[in-house]
Amino acid sequence: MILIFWQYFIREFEISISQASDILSQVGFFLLIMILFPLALGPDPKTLTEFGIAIVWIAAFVSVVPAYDRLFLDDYAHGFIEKAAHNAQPLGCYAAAKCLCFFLVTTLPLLIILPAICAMIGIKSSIFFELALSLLLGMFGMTLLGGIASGLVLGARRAAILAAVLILPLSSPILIFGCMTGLALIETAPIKPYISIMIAMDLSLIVVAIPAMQLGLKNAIENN
Amino acid sequence: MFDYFANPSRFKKFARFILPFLEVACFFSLGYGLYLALYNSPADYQQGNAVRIMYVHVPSAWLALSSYLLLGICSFFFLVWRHPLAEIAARSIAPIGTGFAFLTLITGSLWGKPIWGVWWAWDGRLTSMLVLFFFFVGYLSLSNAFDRTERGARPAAILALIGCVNLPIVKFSVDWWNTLHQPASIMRSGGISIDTSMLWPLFTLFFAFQLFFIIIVLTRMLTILNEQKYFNHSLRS
Repeated sequence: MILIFWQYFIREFEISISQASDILSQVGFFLLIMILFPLALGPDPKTLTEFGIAIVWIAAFVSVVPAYDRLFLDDYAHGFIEKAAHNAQPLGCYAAAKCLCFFLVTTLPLLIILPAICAMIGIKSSIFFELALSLLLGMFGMTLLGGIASGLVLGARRAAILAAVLILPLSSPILIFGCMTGLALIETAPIKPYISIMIAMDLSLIVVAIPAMQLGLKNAIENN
Repeated sequence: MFDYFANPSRFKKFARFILPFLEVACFFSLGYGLYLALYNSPADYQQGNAVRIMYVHVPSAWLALSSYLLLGICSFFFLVWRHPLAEIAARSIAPIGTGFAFLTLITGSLWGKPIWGVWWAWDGRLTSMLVLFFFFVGYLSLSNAFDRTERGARPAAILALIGCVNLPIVKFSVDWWNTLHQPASIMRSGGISIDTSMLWPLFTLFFAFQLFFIIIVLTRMLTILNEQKYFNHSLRS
């Protein structure tokens, strides 16, 4: 199981590296959303610092949501999911590898440009690592939610907007606790309780998401 | 009992038999409840006549929550045992639940303006109710997003089950975040904290709303069953 998971993961990773421009456009989209906030709120540094954490989180969420409806779409269209379903290993293994790879290739570039973002909207650089940790945890949960939604909307009409409608209400706890972590960081309050809750949410999401993705994918290929 | 009603024609016979009784009972209890709530109950000493909105707001909120719970239970039955009626029941419940959730938000907003002074506040109960409404909307749009209706049934059922995590959040939101919305006064530890003169119209109307919900759901289920029969028939000939 570990071996086949690893093989799936390597395959996904090679595909994403070969489509590196997709990753770049994702990062560009994230930056563009960030830029909208100073334009809308005005250039006052005090306001920007006050809303900085929320801006980072919203930009991160909104920049990944449009990608989710296509998470399984290519493999579905090329018949790879059907091939994976004939494997001895459950489909959940494939879906988990796919999500892990997607999480890494979307979140790591965000973390690389995060110091620049923090400087632009006036978040102190001393809290950078904790902020990156909370963002990492939040985006992990977000990717699992995206995987669920992506499996459910396979073959639907207007799948992109539908996936967004399904993900955004589910993602509200991640957004709430993620932003609470950031606010606690700014006030130099202890962040351990929030980080623990986010880890708990991620772990329980793993338990829910893998069977849900497996059911969704199976249903999509059976009723093709 | 679940096996007994797995036969659609048996279910149809039962539903057709029981519907007229339910309709009569609903008509009278709704009339009596509205008479009590709007005319024959005291105005609140602080809220005045605005308290009467509560008689619609609270039953709708209970029904919105319980219809999502029922949606989850039906989806579970459909996913695990592939019960033929469970999917039809879930499809019939979803729009009604959406309607009640919307009614809850609207009546709450109308009540909030004169009493709290605001149409909306980002308090725990209100926000979680709004999220519940969006789960209903997501369920409806997912189940209608496929060219063949049967194709959307299983994805929608999975979504309904996942959305059930929101139910305890709505119920306990008033205890966890002690903000604007008042805490529970009926189903709470330590007994009911509401006067009988207001409790009686509330329960009558709750009973009436419940009957109304059952009537609409049964009627919708009968319609869907007849529609399926019609399509199968026209396909065969």
